[in-house]
Amino acid sequence: MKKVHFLAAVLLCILAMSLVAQAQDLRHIEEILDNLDAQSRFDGSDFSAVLTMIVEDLEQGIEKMVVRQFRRDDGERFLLLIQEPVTQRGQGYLLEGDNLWFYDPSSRQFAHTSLKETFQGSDARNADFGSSSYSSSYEIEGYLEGTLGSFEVYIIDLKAVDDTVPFPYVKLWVTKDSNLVLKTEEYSLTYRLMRTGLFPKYTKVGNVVIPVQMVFIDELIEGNKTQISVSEISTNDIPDHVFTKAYIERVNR
Amino acid sequence: MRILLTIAWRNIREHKVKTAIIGLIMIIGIMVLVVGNSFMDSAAAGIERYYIQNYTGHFMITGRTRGQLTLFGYQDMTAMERAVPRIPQYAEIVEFARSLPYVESINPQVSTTAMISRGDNMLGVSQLFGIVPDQYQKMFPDNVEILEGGFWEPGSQGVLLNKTVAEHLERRIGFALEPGDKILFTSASTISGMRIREVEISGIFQFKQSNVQLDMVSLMDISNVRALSGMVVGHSEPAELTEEEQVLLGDIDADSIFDSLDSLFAPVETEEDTLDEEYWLSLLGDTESRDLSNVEDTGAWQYLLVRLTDEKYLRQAQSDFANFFSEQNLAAETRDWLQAAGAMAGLSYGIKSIFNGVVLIIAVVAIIIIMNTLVISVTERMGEIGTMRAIGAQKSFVRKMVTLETLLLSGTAGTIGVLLGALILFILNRVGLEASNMFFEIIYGGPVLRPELSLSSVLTSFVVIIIVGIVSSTYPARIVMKTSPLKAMESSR
Repeated sequence: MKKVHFLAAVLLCILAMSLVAQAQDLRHIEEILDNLDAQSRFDGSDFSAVLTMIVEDLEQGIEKMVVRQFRRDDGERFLLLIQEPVTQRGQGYLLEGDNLWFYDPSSRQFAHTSLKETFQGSDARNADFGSSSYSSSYEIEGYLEGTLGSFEVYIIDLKAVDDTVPFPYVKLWVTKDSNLVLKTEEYSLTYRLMRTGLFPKYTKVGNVVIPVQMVFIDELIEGNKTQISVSEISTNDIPDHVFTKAYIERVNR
Repeated sequence: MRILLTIAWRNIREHKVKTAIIGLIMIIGIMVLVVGNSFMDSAAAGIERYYIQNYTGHFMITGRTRGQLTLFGYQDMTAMERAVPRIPQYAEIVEFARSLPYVESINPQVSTTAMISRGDNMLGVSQLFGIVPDQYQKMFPDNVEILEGGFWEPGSQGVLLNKTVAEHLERRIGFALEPGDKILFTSASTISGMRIREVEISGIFQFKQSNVQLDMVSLMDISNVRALSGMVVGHSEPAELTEEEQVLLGDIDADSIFDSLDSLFAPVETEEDTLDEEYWLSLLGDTESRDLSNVEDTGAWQYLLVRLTDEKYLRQAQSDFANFFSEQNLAAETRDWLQAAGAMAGLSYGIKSIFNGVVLIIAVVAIIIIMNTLVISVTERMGEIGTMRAIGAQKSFVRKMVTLETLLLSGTAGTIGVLLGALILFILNRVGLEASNMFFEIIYGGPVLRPELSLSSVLTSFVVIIIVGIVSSTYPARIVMKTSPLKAMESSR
């Protein structure tokens, strides 16, 4: 009888220890997500850059877009101003908190749009141009350890907690040592793979780490893909008036 | 033959219960078949008639493309990813169309989908047909019922809002939209990105015969629809890519990319210049070339709808146009009305196929029941059949007798079934079947269906019943053949 009690106590101990270990593991993954979000935010400084987008479309061929990006993460603001191609020059996206506006210079009109929408028919979403919000917008469903190329990674399964993000399920490949997202797979509600993102190059600007090369692969239409490279990075102060509708109208005159 | 007929007829009369069971099954089967097929034929004919007369013409001419291109744009997985091609050498194609004696009228159109907003509020979505009112009304004189206002004046701009779309918008904003109100249309095109147009409502209308898909269609002036579709004179120059930009073109494999990397961090130069006001105001550089390239391409059309003087010229017309495109080396093609009509019309045809599948299952079940009843019938008459065989009746005579008996029964039941079906159809035609919901509206091809007896359904029904008769008599006939006359006579004692 004593033996039975002893065995039961051992089993309970093992179970309790494994639960504690699991909770600690999940806390570690939560810390990684917090870290990802924190290191993607320009708190206390502005950020501007030039984005060169190469949009590969099986039907339309290859198109090159040049976009000026201005970001102020304090207040969740950004302005994306299209410079090339010439037919789209001056079109802009202005984010003011929860509101995203699109400006069309040919009609001089603004219209509401969403961070979830695709950017100009490319494979990028409007949400890709701001800071990340993995810790607040998703909950952890599970994780694995693995490798991607020559990098040791955590493969983290996330589920969206609300419908403010473009995709309800995301799988992240995050490096163990430096906590950088190398790859993402984004899924629909029915868990169909919609888009794969690759982030092979990063740079450090102050305390912020940003990807300077991104590839978004359309998983619905084979051959459609968008690569984005970031250049002319600056953390200089951006005048307040740049993040206004009036500025977009003025710069288009 | 006369003897066979007499014996078969006598057997049918003598086995009244079995005759009644089999006959009733056949009568009901045929009645369902006649009514169902006539019903589907009437719906299909109705859909074809009203689409050709009111929306598509007999066929449409488009730029050559792959995929399911309809009058509503692409209706497949690539719908949001591709722009509908423009018709090449539009003026020459129109001239050729007008030279053909069997072409009654033509109508050019452009189609796009746009989100509708007013102020900060996104209100809904509408499919837009960009048209020239005179030409549109000339080709489709009876499809539009104006409820308020009217078409925009020639040379001006406006949108004739579909009543269903207007009602949806009004529910969102809380007040009624009227002619003269302005609303914003925003479209996303892969070629020109997003476009916004503020357009004045010139009127509110409804299509006289509509369905859920057509209820979403509003009519707009061609200039605004061209702008929303990115149909401008400017076009993107071929992209010039640096060597670095070309590295990731084509198929890439995530593992191999990350395998070859020593470090994830790339050295990037940061700009530290202080920027003055002039910099911020001249960011876009030259905007004049932008404005020039965004001028509307006034000769651009996506669809040319063609109506013929008679449907009998359809094949000839499609062939003539194909030859013309080939001779002129034009990347254009014709698509018939069903392809142009898109998913809703296709769905009605799909439902007909499902109905035919159900009919097939019913036929198989009927065959099994009839076969079973016939087996019992011939087993009961085994003694009689054995006696006939013993006094010299050949196997073929007995087989013919069983088959003829079934065919006689099927023929009689079939005729009664067809007559009853015709009666039901006559009543339904007089009463008219109103679609109680969206599903039935799609099947009916409109709000009311008045089914008519179709010759094809009568012929199909007779073919089916004869096949059922022949197939269901084979097994009982085989049982009779296998039994020796002596055994057969013994079983009757």
